Amino acid sequence: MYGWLRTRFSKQTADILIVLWYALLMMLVLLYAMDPPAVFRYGNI
Amino acid sequence: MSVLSLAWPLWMLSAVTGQWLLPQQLARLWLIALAAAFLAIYSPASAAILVTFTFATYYLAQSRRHLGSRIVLVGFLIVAVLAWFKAKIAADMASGVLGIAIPLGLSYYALRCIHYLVERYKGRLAPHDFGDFVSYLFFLPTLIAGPIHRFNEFQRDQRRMRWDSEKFSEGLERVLYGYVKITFLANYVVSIRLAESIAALGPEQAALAAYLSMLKQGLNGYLQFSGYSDVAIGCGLLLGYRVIENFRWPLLQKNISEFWKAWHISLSSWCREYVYMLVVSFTRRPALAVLATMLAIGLWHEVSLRYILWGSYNGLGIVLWQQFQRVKRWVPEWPFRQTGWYRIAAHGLAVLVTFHFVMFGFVLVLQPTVAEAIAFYRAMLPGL
Repeated sequence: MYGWLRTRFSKQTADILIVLWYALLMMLVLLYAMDPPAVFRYGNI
Repeated sequence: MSVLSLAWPLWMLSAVTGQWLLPQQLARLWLIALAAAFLAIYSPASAAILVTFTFATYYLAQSRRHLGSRIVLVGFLIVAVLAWFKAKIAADMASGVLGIAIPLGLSYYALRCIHYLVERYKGRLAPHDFGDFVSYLFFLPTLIAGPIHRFNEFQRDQRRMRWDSEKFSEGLERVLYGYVKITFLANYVVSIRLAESIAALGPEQAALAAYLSMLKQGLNGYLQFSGYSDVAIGCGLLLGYRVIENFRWPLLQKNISEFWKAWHISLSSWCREYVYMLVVSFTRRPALAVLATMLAIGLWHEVSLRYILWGSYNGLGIVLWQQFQRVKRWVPEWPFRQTGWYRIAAHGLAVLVTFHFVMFGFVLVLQPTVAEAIAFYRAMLPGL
């Protein structure tokens, strides 16, 4: 992701955007990890 | 044991710390010991089976004398153990008894052992010792839910092991994407929000509700499984190993053949190498080999009628697609076939048809029984 950002923005902008991107993802995980997990059964493996 | 439990990050933290702080030989032992302890705690039966498989696979495949017979013997033993567990569970399920569970990771490490045996027979393994083989089988990130990584690639990474900050950050990012897929997309967006929207539909929209339920179950399955794979691949990168990819946008493929090259890649490529090639070399009939391969994929998941039907459904889909490709050669070119809009529309339609073909197939395995799957199809297509 960082490489992709670097091809489109300056280093400083890319640094800020990647921090924001990771913060958003972390927030999503922490917020929704508390929900009960969905049933997921894929055979007997 | 799930990657969502709090214990999993602690296991991985221990693995990563040891891998990069200890000297290389000690780090290798540390990773093996951690994986062995992990299995011994969560599934002692699996630990015992894996240790037996490890010794049998390695030592019986060392000498070149009668190598073929010994490899067949060990391969048969491994397949027999795997088949016994799958059949026992199938029998328990059929009789409604809550019986034994499959030993953790058995379905995966059984295939890794067979891969090693076949490659050893073909003389395609790079020089290695017992420790290399043990560290390949006792690799914590892929131990419980794949991907089914390959020995030579694993050993190449082990030989060239050095700290690589880019690889490490790629691993962290991949783990994060995996958790987002599981917790946010699969659990929240698909399984909670979409389920609420389906529940809000009135009884006069039962067919639409069934159709959306099919999409919900299919998408949940894909997001959960690919999320688990992302976490495993990411954890592998944190330890300095690049593990084989398992999913490459499978639901956006334009035909069923391409779908199976992008869905559970480590399993489908394993079956292509060791089932398809074997059957085709004996029978010289590619269509039969495709059916046998897809049936093997179905049975690997579970020994049951629904997985046999699912494997056959996908196998027939691939065979029909291949036959269609032959017939298509005789159809004259349409004058507007090369135009941009035609290509885009044809591609979009192909993706849509493949997506629905795959989702229809998933109903067979995502419903508990074949009877319930048939009832589901009837609810979705009331005139059927």
